[in-house]
Amino acid sequence: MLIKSADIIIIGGGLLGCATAYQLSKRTSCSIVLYERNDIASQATSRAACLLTRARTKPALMSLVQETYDCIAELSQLLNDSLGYTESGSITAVSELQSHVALDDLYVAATVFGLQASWIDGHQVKSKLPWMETSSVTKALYMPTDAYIDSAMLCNGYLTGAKQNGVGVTTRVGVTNILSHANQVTGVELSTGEIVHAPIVINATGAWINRMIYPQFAALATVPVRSHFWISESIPTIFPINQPFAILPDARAFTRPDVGGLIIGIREPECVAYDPSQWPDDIDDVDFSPDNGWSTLSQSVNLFEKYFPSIHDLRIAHYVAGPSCYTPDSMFIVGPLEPTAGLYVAGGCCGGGVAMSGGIGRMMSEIVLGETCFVDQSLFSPSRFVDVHPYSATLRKQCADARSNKKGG
Amino acid sequence: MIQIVFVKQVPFSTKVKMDPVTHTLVRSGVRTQVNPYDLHAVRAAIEVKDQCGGTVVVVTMGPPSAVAVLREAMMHGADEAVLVSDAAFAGSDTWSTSYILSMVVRHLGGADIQWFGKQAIDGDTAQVGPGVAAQLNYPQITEMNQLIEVDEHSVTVQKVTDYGYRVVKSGFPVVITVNKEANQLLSPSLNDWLRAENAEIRTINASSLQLDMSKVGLSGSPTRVKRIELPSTKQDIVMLTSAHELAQVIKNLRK
Ligand SMILES: Cc1cc2nc3c(=O)[nH]c(=O)nc-3n(C[C@H](O)[C@H](O)[C@H](O)COP(=O)(O)OP(=O)(O)OC[C@H]3O[C@@H](n4cnc5c(N)ncnc54)[C@H](O)[C@@H]3O)c2cc1C
Repeated sequence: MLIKSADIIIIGGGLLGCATAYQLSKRTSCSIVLYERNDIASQATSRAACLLTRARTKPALMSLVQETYDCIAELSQLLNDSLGYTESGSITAVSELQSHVALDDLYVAATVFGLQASWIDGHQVKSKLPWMETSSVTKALYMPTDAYIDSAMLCNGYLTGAKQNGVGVTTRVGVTNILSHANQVTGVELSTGEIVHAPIVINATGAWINRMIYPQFAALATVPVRSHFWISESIPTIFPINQPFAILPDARAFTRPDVGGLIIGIREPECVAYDPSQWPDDIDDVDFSPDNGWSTLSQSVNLFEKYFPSIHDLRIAHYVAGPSCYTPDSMFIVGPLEPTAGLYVAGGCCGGGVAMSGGIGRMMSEIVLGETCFVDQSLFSPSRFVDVHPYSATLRKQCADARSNKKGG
Repeated sequence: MIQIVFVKQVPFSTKVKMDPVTHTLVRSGVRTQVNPYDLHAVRAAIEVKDQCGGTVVVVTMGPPSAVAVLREAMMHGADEAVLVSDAAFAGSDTWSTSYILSMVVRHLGGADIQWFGKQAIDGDTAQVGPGVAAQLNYPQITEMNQLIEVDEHSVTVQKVTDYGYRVVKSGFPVVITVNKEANQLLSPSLNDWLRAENAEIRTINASSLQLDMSKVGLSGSPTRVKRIELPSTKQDIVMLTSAHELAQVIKNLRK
């Protein structure tokens, strides 16, 4: 199929591009095409820990997550496929007194929003997560409707839904240039040399988002920051798949069951941010850790030990690392890229792109189609940052700190 | 019981790149790992040690950076590690490498079992294990896919042959090369990593081995590589996402 023009071009076949394609295709009969230069769901999306954490202190974020849950329900029915969705529930457990306030705030925000949440004590935590040492737990919140999913299946689910609605998808073809004339987007140039005309282009290229628009158009305050987790060997008797996932803010950690093993994510006190201008086109070619995460684990395990003393003897089968794109204020970037008419961006998803994907896709669609947005879009506006130097050490430090200081899942 | 496991550093990436001019593998800048078959050899040695006791020594020949693969092998349970490294060894082919490694065995005082992976995933020759056996005049069992029995005097294994399997028993010393089916690897723990990270690694160079230097390095290697080519892969693959698309493809093929 040789497309010479379309109404809307989406660049990037990760969760944000595919969710946007799906949400747009539900709302408009415009012709939409999506280009992915690697394979669908092969980049950041393929590396996610896949938590769909509902509780957030900002209602707008909870609305975005709720929209993802709604999409999952819709797609599961449409495609007759569970997409690897597991409603495991979640437990957020804290030990330090100063963490109580934040957890109280989260409880209030979640219940006001209408989420199911209840306080549980250390014994109840132990009964739900028998592997955990809970003697230090002083407060814990249980959210029975939290779930996790297979992020690649979700991404493909969005795309299959989008294709059924007529979206054209081309993989292994990249966009090399966004074209414009007199401050209006006119289309894109592809790696094949072809030109595709379109008045609307949505840049959802994840870690490469600035490479697509800077310096030609504008710069976004986001850089890729290393996100990672370890997966233990499979011991299904200890880590059954229906156990709740756990968020342990005082250990900067989370856990979730994974096909009989345990996923353990621990954030380093100083996260690693990258200069995307130096990046290859495929994260398979990025060496996130020369020693497969071992030294990082040994340096950051101390806070986690009190919840899982046998971590030192647990056999670790895998180390998974990838780029999570952070912003200095830990909020996503979704909206028009001024001053160029027709150019939009969706990115900077701060380690929450799986949970927020449906919501971001919907927000992007509503913005592009000029509809009233279901959340306050100004929170996510690309123009909220000024004087951005996308490849500067300062921005890298700000974005790394945003991840280091993150408390939730 | 003393066991030596020979491990090789191979490129980590599965995307092997070829230098179009020299027709050799581009190794620089590529992260390395232990050749996957060799980890099964380490595991086999650990299983033998679990039954008979003794010491498992891992040996690699390579540049100083190859200590990383020794540490990786130690994470999987080896007790000691030896790096065999000398600029003079660069360019050694399988014959020359076998000669050097056989001298390493002599230097270390010999072992009951000398283990190798079946082959290395970069060169795929499967020649070095048998080469060392030949140089030392030791019996050899290639392609072990099951360790059946071992005691202080002998080892019985099942090996793969062109026509099926054969059960072979050998006394010591012996050279055994190992298939991936031979055992299940165990993942290491943080404690295993720490032990390996802090382990002392011995280095041996050419002068300590009393080598005939005419048999080592590029000049001592009889193999001449005229040309290596990457087999061409099919790029025009289309992923079908529905039975309907498949039906369409079949229909078009029948036309
Ligand atoms: C280790 C880790 C754990 C995580 N855990 C969670 C979690 O538990 N919960 C959660 O909600 N989120 C999690 N995330 C975050 C989540 O994975 C990301 O937010 C999400 O996948 C981002 O999707 P994306 O579409 O923006 O990026 P990507 O998946 O990277 O997609 C961008 C796509 O654009 C393509 N592209 C780039 N340039 C071009 C071009 N020029 N032409 C065509 N295509 C192009 C790329 O090839 C890529 O496929 C985690 C992330 C990591 C790394």
